[in-house]
Amino acid sequence: MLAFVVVAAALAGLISTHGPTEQLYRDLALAPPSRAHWVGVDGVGRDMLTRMLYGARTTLGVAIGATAIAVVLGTIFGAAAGALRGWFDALVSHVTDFLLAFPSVLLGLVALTILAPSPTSVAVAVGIAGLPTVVRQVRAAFVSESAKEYVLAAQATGAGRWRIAVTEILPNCAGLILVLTTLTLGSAVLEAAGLAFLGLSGQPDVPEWGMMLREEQSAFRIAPWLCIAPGLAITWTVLAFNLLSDGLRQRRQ
Amino acid sequence: MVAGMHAFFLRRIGSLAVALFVASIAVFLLVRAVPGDPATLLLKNPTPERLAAIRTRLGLDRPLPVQYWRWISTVIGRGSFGESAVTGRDVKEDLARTWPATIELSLVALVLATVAGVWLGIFCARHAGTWKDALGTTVSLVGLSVPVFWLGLLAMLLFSLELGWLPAGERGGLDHLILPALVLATIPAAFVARVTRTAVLDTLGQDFIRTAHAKGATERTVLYRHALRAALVPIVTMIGVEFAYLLGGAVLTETVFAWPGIGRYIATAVLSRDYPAIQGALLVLVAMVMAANFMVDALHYALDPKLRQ
Repeated sequence: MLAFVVVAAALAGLISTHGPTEQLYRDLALAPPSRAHWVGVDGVGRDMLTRMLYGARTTLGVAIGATAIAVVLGTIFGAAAGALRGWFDALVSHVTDFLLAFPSVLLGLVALTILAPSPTSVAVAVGIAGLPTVVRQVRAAFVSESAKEYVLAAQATGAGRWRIAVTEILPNCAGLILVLTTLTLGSAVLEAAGLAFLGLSGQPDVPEWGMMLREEQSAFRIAPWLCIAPGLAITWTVLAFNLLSDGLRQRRQ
Repeated sequence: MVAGMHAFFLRRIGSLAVALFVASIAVFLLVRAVPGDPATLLLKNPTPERLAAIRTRLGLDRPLPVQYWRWISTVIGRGSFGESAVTGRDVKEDLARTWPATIELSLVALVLATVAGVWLGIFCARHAGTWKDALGTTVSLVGLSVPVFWLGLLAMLLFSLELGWLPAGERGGLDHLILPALVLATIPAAFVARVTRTAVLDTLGQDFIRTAHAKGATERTVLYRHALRAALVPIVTMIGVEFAYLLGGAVLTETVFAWPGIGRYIATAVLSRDYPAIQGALLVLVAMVMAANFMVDALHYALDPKLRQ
């Protein structure tokens, strides 16, 4: 399932016969799907399939960027809190608990009030919004691993706290971090699309699925396929990530 | 026992106050973190003299703690967030109009999501390992993956535009509420279903369930009287989390259905960089989320005997 999206994104330039912003078919605007234009033509005469393919590229790019931020920073903070305990742990735990009470779309919105609108900002905003979940899970894993025998054994050999955290505990949390990564990828796609739908993706010339929905919703009644296609693409991608994460989680147990 | 309860709630209210204080500082600093200061944002064609004048008038030349104190004392004292930078309307009045709409939508969606989610979760747990379980699990996974705004558009196309059964958006009678509430409930319902399934399956494997079976209780009694009762704690915890999702989903759902709530208000405010409106709406949302969490804690306390010790 996922391969399909990745291939679409990677080969967007090869598969598509048009440019993503070329308005070649103004007279064909809102034309239904045909052999030449598989998903029809959008409101200003751009080939919709082309835009969908390039949209996959934007979506995956933003999702991967956001997930990298959430997982890397989340692991560092979560691991440090779980390994060090004390006041640092208390601080990190309080802040994550506080942030977890808020909807991630709202955290994304707040981050976007400060950042200038662009796909990079969306990735940063979505990444920050996903951070608290990762921190909490990694911290919990570190705390429970710290009580296990191999850690006590390492302490007995005189290894320092940081050394134990990085060389002993971290490898044992790799499975969890992988599950969190796939989970975050899925929610990042959903969230970035939501922010784009609200009109916060920034650049109108970069095709993005959520933004396409925003643009085409006025033509929904006349040309429903223009709205159905991007929505299906988002659902497909998120579902693929969620299934992957469920599968990984079951294999861990 | 009663003393324990008082202590528990006093502690919760204390941390609530601290959290609100921190949140208000965060909301205040948010606008200061924006490139350019509010004076530049207010003036259409700024000259250095006019900027200096307006900075003095707004007190922007004072140290940050003083500025914060002035801002928060007007917020608390007069309940005022100032005027919208875009519409010129009083933000307080806008908020007073919008938040009940959001509460109305969220509460109905919360009830729908909880009922549907718990039902689906029990259904799956009861038929664990069969095709019915697989079907239910798949349905909830798809529910988690669908973008709400798209679902909203589809529902509107089908039920309002094509079939003409229900009105397409805006606030009104009960018929206006059905579509947005159903759409908003999708993701939380899927979450609740997954948590309920796991929780019920966990309790079904425990000794007291075997005892209940052994003393001849019917399948139904065991499931609803014993298993569900024990599974309630994780489900209630989930409802707290769910409420946060609902408010987030409300931003998108309200936008799709032109629902005049605080979610759509803040989305519009962010889009037009209307800072007084953003600050006001954020503070109200923060207060709403915290009130919800407090109520969930209280419910938790009532349900979980371990907390009372």
